[in-house]
Amino acid sequence: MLLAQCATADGAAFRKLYEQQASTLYGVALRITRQPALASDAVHDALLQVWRNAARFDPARGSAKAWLMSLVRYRAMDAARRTGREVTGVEVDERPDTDPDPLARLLATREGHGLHRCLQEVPEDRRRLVVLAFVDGLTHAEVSARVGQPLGTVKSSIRRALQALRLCLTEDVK
Amino acid sequence: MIPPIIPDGPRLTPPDEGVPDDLDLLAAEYVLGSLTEQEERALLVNFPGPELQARIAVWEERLAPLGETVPAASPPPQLWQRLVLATGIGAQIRPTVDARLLRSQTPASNPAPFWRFTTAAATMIAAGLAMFILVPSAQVSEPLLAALSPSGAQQAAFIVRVDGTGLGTVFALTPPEAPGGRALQLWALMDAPKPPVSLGLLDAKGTVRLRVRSAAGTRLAVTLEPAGGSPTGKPTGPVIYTGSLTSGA
Repeated sequence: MLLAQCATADGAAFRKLYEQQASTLYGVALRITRQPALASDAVHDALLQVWRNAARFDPARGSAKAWLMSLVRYRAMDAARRTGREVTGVEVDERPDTDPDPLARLLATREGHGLHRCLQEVPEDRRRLVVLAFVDGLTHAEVSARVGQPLGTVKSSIRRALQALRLCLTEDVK
Repeated sequence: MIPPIIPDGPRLTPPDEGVPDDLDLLAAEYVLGSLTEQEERALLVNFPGPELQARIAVWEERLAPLGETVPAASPPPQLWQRLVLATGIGAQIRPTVDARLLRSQTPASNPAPFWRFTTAAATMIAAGLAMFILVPSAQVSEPLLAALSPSGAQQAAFIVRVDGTGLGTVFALTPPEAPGGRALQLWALMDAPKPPVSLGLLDAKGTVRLRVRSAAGTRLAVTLEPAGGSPTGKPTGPVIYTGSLTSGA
């Protein structure tokens, strides 16, 4: 367990964690912040927090991967909201994701299978709002502006999608 | 006479009065990132207990795989170099690190004084005097320190240290008196009209993880509250100690 080794200040384990996770985390942070410098900061701060607090990580609360992903996303979203995504000077190259079905990437990991199956049960118009909010780190209002739907509609659609996901994923666990 | 902090600030409406289903969905929206900063703050203020944190952790676990759907991207090489410097693991993994790069860093990034501080902290932890809070700060660069003292007094009762990653540590210097089973609660003061945000109770209960996102330069206050903390999510008792987070360098 890499995190356990990080807790004992094992630099090699930290390097391995970095090699395994950094490009995924950086991709996520870049998508949210749209700025390489901010994305770097988000991943840096999250990994440093993990390094310093690995000993206090409680596996019973969830996986290390989910913890890291969350730390990076929160920091990236904070940075994006602080600087204002829409008015930034340094825009990252818009490299459109050519994958026709990005959600299929969920099938690459064991923990992604359940989410993939449950997302398929959510109507497409609601599902894409949830994915948009998560992947781009958008608030309800930003999603509303992006898809051109009223704020109230976006809010209730996302809520229903989350309720459906919860039901499906809870049954999954049982 | 110690003045109350923000005596008549606007009361945030609890979202649907804490219906469990609603709380769970708010936790989901928090993780999703779709709440505004104000909504997030209201959520954290109105539900300061472990219930919300547990629900957030469950949703983090559920939704985190979605990160895999975003195309990965190679981070700049400097990112790893920065991490080597920040963690001080250069000596352990010499083959991948250029020692000249390490030496070329400015003294400002030398963490020596903080290591000493950390050693003192370790002693205090061993003595059971310290508790931890997480305060992910808006600006993360250098550690911040705050001395919390009674109004007009020089001697600090607590020292708060927030490191560059937003990890906050509160050290009790002089045993604080909380009469009659009452609690000492730490708050981050926000610019009016936003209400103060609870950072947790100052008793030795161990680790408290908070996700309040407070900016550097935050003013802090400790109030005397009923056992278990403020029942309203806002300060109800008198201010006992105050201080501001400033650069510790």
